[in-house]
Amino acid sequence: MSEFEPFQSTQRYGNAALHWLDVATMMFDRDKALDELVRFVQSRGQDHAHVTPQTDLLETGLLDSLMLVDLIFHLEELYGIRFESDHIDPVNFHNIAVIVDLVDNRLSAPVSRLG
Amino acid sequence: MDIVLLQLGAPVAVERFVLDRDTDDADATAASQPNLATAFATVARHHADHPAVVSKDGVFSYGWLLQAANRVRRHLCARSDHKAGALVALELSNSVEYLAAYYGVLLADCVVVPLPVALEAARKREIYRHCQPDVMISRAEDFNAAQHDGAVANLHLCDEAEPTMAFAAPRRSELDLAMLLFTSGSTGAPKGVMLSHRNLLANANSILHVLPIDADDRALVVLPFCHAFGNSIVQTHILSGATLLLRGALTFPSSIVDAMRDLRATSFSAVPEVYGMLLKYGRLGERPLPELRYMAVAGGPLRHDLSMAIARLISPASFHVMYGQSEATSRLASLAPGDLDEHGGSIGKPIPGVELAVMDEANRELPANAVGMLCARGDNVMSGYWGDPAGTADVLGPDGWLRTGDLARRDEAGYFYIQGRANLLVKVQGYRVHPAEIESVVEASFPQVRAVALPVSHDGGTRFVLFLAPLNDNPIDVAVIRETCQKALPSYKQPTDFEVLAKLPLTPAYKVDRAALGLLVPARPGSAAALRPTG
Repeated sequence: MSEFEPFQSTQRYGNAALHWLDVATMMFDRDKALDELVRFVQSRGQDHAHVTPQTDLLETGLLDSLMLVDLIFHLEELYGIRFESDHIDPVNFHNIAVIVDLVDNRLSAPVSRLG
Repeated sequence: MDIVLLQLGAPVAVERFVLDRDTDDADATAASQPNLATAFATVARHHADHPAVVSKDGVFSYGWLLQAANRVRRHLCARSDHKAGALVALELSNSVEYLAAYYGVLLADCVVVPLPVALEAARKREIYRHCQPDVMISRAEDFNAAQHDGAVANLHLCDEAEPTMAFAAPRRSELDLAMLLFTSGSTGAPKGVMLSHRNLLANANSILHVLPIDADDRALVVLPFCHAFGNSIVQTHILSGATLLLRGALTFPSSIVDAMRDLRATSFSAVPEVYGMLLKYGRLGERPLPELRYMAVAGGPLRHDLSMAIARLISPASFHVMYGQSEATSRLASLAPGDLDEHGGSIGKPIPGVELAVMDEANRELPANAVGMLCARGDNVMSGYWGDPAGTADVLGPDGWLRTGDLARRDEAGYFYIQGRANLLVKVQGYRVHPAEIESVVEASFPQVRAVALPVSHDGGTRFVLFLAPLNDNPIDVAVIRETCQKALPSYKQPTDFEVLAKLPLTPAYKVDRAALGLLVPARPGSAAALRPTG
């Protein structure tokens, strides 16, 4: 018998709570993805509040190594994709628009889906 | 508090800083000096034409660095309130200016208090209230004018070689305070670890027995200098006349490997999270790093299989697993590269000059394989926490043994193994974090919410899940709480998940049952698993 009452989580707010893939068509909604990622980056702190899809995250120093870890984790969870060494590169992460391009590219890669 | 902003000036050719060597210094070695500033000046005169720092701003020789530090010394000594032992804060990111300020403060017989540039405003205020430095040194890139209201003076670091470099020898003795190193204490409040000249010199010399650092070494540094681990890299390399390689934030694992190759780095040291990323995305081992002599990890546990993978990929360079803590200046134990395979998961043996023992509650040494408090003794152990005799007495006995807060066992062969924490402190990216540092921020803004931060294993590192329970009937708005965390906390303290509970599980003593909460951590593929509760 359990030593304590079974405490059920009543709400769950992990990153995986959001899904921007249209289940009916399995089409990637680029605008929604951009919007979601802008909000993810903006929410990182006061310095990030005015980020746009074109803001250079590297020149401005807004993307640090811990945020990169969180960003990779967030995108892999949200879209069920996996990044390889080749993808984790300044070219693919210097602004939000190119990150969304990378996600789009990974979603169309046939072996990238986890199922 | 007065503010000094350092200005670099144009980089100057190395050969213009060849200084006349002081004949008195001919036989003196850095290791024999009782004062860290004197040791630095001895090395700097001896290696005046050798690069101390390579950064985006240029190549800075030891001669340049000594002259720049002397400018800082002169500025401080010219103050009407100048006195030995005065505290001088640094708000400087890794740079040659940081080093000029650090050794300049010590040359002026003052005490250096380095703070992380990105420290939360509230915590920074708490530290300044606690230790009240007379002066803070920063530079335009790192200075946040909104956080300070003191008078601002500019200090131009040298761009012309000065004909003479005479200055009064520093007078602080080896037992005098040299540095206040702020870290999180067992209650979550900031604690100022008091390190003497002897502490800093002793630990650097101990490390130099284990790591083969000489003047030819070129260390790529990504750790902040103001952190105990980063500071120990500075001291060991500067006292050896070696070169520190600085290249920005190096956010991407592949850029770390590129920088090592481009700058011909002979060594690299980092916290476990960085090695996790290097292995996953850094393509380590794909291209040769012929200059690399060794890599070292400290600042938290790196999984044994990952240590083995790194060691394999960088061979014939060696991989050193090390262990330490701020209260002991930095490092305490090291696992020799040759022992990595056979003694997997061990932190190794104490480095020379350090004693380690596993003790019970009554400070009696336990036999082999018994789990107890890991205790350390040696010239590297701090004299106490600034302005906190009670906190000091909790961790430091009159016999000089420091209770580290880590639970450990020692095997028959004398190898030590960390078995968990005796308190709630955890390491995130090498930073010591107490759950209360997150919980208090949430509870201060939302008095009707009880918040409990629980460490979880997250993608190879450690992060926090925040459990929230209402204290009244109002529903909890997670989005607003998440936003508050994001505004008030640095990235390594950000919870990765928020879980709302109707009420929190309690122990029979009516304390929050953190072990029971561990069972509620959301299951994620390849991710969150509650870390083993350790009492």
